[in-house]
Amino acid sequence: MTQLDEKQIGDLVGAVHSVELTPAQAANAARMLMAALAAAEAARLVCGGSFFDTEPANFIPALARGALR
Amino acid sequence: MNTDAALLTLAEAVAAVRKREISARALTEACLARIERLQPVLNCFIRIDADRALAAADAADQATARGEALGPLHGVPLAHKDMFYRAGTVATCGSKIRSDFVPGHTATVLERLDAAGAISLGMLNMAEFAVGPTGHNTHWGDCRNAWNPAHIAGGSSSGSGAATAARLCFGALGSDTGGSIRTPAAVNGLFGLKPTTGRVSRHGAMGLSFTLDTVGPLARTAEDCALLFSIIAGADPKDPTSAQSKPVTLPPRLDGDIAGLRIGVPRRPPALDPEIEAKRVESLAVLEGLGARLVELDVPEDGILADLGNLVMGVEAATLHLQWLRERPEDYQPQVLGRLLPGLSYPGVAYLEALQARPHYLTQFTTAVLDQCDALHWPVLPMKVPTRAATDIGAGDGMQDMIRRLSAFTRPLNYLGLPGLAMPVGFDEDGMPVSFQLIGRPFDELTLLRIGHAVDQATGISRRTPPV
Repeated sequence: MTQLDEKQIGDLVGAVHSVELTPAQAANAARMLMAALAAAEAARLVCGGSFFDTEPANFIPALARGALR
Repeated sequence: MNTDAALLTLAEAVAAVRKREISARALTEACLARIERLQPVLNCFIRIDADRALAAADAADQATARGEALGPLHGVPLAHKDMFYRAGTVATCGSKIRSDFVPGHTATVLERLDAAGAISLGMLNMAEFAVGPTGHNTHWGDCRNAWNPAHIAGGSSSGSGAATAARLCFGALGSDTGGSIRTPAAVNGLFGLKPTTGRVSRHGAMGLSFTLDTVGPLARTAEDCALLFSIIAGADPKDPTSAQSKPVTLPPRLDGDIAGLRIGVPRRPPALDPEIEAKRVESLAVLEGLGARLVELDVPEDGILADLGNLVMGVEAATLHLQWLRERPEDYQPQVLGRLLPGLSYPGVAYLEALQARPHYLTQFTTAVLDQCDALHWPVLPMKVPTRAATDIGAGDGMQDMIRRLSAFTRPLNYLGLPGLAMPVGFDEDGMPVSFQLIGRPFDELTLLRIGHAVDQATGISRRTPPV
């Protein structure tokens, strides 16, 4: 798979959202993107690898259930 | 001017007005005198409404004289983070972009405090758009720590922390998306309550992150926190995300007896500065001395909860700010811009994975921790209160690491939606406050406040006044 460098990620984000990123902002965004992707991947794996059979997340009822434990 | 009245706690001030031992005007003048002296030092306020506050105080005293029914905060001056909207009054949100924004509606939390009889002294400094844990603000000037102005006031509710600690007001509202109530409370030696997600209405409060934002009080005692919380909590038809929970009914007195309550203690304590670790041990000994039972347990937290919180906040904050990110990027301070822009890069699938996993992680945490204890004893900051200079690092390479370290123990709670109470436990060798947080079950804020009150009663920590 092609690896994008920080500048390419910055350019992509800038083009998609019509914003301008400096090289430093692009580098920061790229680092944060990697951390976010890793966290989301880990969350999916912890939840069984797929959300296909899960109910849509509705958090307040989940809290209410937690309160009733 | 005798400013001793400003040294009362909120509960004491309420009682004194009710018994006609002091007037609302005297309380307000005492606060205004301290504000006049300390605003140049601490920069807590963005706007001071002295005339309006005095007029409200006189009206409160007239109501008292007429024998009218008095609200639970009758005649007592408060001040709030400048992100709670009041119709017809500027709410800057700590920013340049909203420096002349006049909302057309009033925040539900302000309406509830107004109805309780509170007086507003003005609006408090904050991190720009509530983004930032230190209190730096290039638009309105840095807010400074009440115990030593060279140190950070914490953020993003920086003014709420410093003003309440410096006795410029009797309590304040803040908001907490990743630690923004608990951090300024902790570094200023206050109690600060981040309520359960949905517990307090966010109608009329500036949004940062739809699913993580919470609104709560900072005060000098747990009892004061409980009083403010009981007034602002409860379902609100104007906020469709508020939980349909009943209003909070406070017991006549917060019960000081916590004998038998189980305090969760991590089997493997997090890595802390040695002075903070020593205070952790002391704090647990105080709890044990009060009859609480310490329960060792494994806390399922390896940093992923903070990363997921960052992912969710990043996308939601970028969504709210997109138009200004396009049109007015030069009007943000660099660090805030640097924290908002990455949210534009996160894929929608990753964002929804983070949201879908949230109930799972909540259940996991509840099972592993909160089924075993009544409250978890957990750090707020792993280090001593940093100086402003040490954390004034702009938007460079170290920025994200610094933010991560400052919010490592607070941000997970916003993702989990659980309540947390920052609680002062002592002072370090430099005279700066040291705090820990108590984490509780959903909607069980009162247990946390009971424990905090018992600790305060036992240690008298809230009686210590900053030297400024």
